[in-house]
Amino acid sequence: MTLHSAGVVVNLRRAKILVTSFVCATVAVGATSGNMYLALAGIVIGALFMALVRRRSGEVHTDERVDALGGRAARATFVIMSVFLGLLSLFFIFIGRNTGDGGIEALGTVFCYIVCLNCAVYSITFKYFDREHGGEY
Amino acid sequence: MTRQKARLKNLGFCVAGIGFLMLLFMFFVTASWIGCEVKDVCKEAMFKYEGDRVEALIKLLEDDAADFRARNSAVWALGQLGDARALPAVKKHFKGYEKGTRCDRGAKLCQYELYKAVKLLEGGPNISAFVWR
Repeated sequence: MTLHSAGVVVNLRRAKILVTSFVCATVAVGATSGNMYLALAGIVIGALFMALVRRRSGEVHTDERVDALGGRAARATFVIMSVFLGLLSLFFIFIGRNTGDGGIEALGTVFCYIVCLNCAVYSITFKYFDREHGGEY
Repeated sequence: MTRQKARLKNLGFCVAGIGFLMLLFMFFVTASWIGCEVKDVCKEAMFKYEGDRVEALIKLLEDDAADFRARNSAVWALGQLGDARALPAVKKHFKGYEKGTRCDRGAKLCQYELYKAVKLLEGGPNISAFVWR
């Protein structure tokens, strides 16, 4: 039985719905009764169950189109967030220096570091996937 | 080298690189935060006392009428600034520190805080200072 057959897809979807309902219910019960461990256990069991179901099906769960779209969306998100945070950090540093508010300036500096970290992590993961797929850079 | 080994090596480099970057990021954020706190303490001291930031902090430390929390913060900020002019004033209040003793920052001058400040003012290493000084 493969994933491409409609029956398995439906079964997987059912399993997902069931696990989501179970996790939601456990978290809700845990939150209302103030028992954090119950909520945590529900999440862990749900994750383990889903991992088991996926492993048993033994097939690819996404097609190339979804992968390509995910990659493009991730890159667009990276560019948008980097530019946005970069501009925001400049704005905060400028305002902080003008008003003498050290807190706002520090926030701007932290945003600046986040942008740098973002770019560095992007470079490392890009290199990783490039090597993984046989590229020579 | 087999392909499996090469892949593992690649993954190791990636994880180690990202982990190192995360640590570096946390260090820079913490150092910036320290700098921001030092500047805040200096600003408050300079609002009340005359002189540059070190002089104002020394005056705050010497002021018996001032709140102990503010005076302890002044000691901390003086240590972080690392200006040797503050050493006599800080040493004057330092009576000795025993490891493990706890200190109520609102009730007295904290000997541990003074101990750290003396060490920094005598030229001890302050690895976060280059980020914000």
